[in-house]
Amino acid sequence: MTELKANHLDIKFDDEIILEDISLEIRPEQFILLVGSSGCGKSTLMTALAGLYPKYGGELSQEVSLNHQSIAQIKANHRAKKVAMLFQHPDQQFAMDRVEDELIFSLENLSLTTEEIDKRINSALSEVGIESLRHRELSYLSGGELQKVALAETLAMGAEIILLDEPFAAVDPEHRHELQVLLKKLVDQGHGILVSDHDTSGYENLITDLYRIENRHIACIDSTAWSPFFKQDVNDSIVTNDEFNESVFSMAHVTVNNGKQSILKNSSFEWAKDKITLITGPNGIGKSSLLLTFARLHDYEGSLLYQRKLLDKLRKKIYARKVGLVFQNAADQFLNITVSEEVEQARAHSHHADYWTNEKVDRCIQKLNLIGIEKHSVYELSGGQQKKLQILIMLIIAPDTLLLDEPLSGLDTNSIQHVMKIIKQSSNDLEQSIIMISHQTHGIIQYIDYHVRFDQNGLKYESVVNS
Amino acid sequence: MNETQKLLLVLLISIEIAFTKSVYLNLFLIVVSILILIVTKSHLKTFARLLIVSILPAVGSFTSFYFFGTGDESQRLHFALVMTTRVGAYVFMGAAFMSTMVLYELLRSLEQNVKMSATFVYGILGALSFIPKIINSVKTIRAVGLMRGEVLSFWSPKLYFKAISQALIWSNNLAMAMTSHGFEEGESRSYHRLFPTKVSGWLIIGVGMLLIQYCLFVIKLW
Repeated sequence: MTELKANHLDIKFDDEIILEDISLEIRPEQFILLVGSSGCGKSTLMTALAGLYPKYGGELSQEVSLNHQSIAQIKANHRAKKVAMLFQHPDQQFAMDRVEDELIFSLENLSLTTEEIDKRINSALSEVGIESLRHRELSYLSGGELQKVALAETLAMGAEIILLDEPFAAVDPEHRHELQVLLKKLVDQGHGILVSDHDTSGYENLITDLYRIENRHIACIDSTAWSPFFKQDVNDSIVTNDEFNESVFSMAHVTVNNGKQSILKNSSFEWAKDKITLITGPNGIGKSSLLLTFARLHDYEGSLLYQRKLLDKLRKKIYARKVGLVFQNAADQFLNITVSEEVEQARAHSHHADYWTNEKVDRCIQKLNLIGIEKHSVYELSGGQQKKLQILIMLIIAPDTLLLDEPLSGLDTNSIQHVMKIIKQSSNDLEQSIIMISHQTHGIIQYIDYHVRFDQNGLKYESVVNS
Repeated sequence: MNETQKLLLVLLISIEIAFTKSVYLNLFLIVVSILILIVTKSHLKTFARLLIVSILPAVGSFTSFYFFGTGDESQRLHFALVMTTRVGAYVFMGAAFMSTMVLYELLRSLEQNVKMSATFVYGILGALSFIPKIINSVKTIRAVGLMRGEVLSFWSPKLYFKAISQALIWSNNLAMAMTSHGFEEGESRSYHRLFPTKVSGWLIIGVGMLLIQYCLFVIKLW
């Protein structure tokens, strides 16, 4: 029986201890959920378990063993049949540019025959429900779709143990549930699964084990003590969507395409000024393209007004200072190296430097648990820390309108609350218009003024937020 | 004709015309290349671009060899024309090759037929898929700069520093992902699609090369 095991393992990065005394075993038919706040070392642990350290940085005090053999010593093409990993950044885990070619690439590594490769591709794509993506180019897929492709690739390789690092951060709730059930099915078929996720919803009845990382140590949580981890507010899913007079954006007969895919056709819609609007909708429908259109980083046809002025009549340089975008990929937002340089830059160019005083910035840094990393490079931060820093920077810049593309993905419940509180306060105090996309809707509805549902039928105000 | 064979033929002809001096042969190669371009439905734009690219070196080599070369006038004229048509032959043969070739297939066929290392093949494919990403990322960085109150011009070092650091991170993540997807340097891999060399291809290469030798050495085309 396959067994992946870490025994009293310490993991160091640049002489700094990230994780200490980690003991963990993963076997077939185990479904382990790993939780812990942003930056606690979940990704580091998974990368170590996948056998990618020390080859790609990271110092290990002990070997991670796969069936009593050091996993780092096993050749990648043999290892991939036993252990596979799904990475946190969906757009950086593919070697090829088309879905089918990518799957072929990984299956060729395993020296499979053409018939076997075709068979496995067919079944993996249909298992994840993405046959329609087979011939698509990866660069046109949404974050959620990319994660599904990555999961299909893992399945096709047939790894017995699958490590998933926050795989659902960009997946819509419906598909999230489907994929969770799929993971459970895989467990029943004899796979062992370790998944890290900040959002614990939906796991309670599926998992066999729960682990938590806290203060560099890992602890197995006894199933009798699980309930606090799975508590969810369910009463807050109604948004009133009051009438409004002033619009921040007015769309009249707007058409937007992404490559060959049509996103909006002849759409007319008004967006409330000085309020917080939440956009939800299925993966790949074009939510990100819509925000990019508002930020003038994506082409469109028709008439699009920003505060009653035609968008393309406004000067780009001035417009960029009025309308800011928080990108889906946090690293895109950074211009400097260290965390403190980033914050300094934002303070120096803030529209409301009097509001974002040093004390206020420090308070936010504290609340967001970003203390002690001022001198760190922004690229060394964990996914969640990058996200929080990115949001903070754009809030400090304080443009009149702020567009946020999945600002909550990869954040723990605590961080989500703090981020939303800070956004709400700043929007109130500075009369900012906020439009945000989020799949994660637990516990944030109280901060939202409007909810827009974006699906096959286009844009629509809807009071019920499905989560 | 298989992609490797196409490359081989173009290389062989290129080497041959680099050392021989026949204006008519060069012109003949240009005409054949243009025919291939027409058959593969290349745009007029492509032709215009090719002409513009070849004009400067063509004019340059003609004038230098005609006005400053050695020998009598007819020798200088001949040599100048050889050099000029050679430039054209190279440019149009290259274009004809590119227009019929699929890069993925070329690299995979080189991997299968001449045992080029898979690391090299996927390195090049990876690097090429990076190009649009980097262009996009430069756009994004400039947009972010504007939103954050910094105008990053095309010559701004910050712009390129950021683009390079991002590319380094991507390449590391990509290498990790490839390892995780079972790619190991030097290990054997299977091929989902074979790109075998074809007999017809060898025939074309053989006949083509023989024809060229005949033109050059038997009838000694001017």
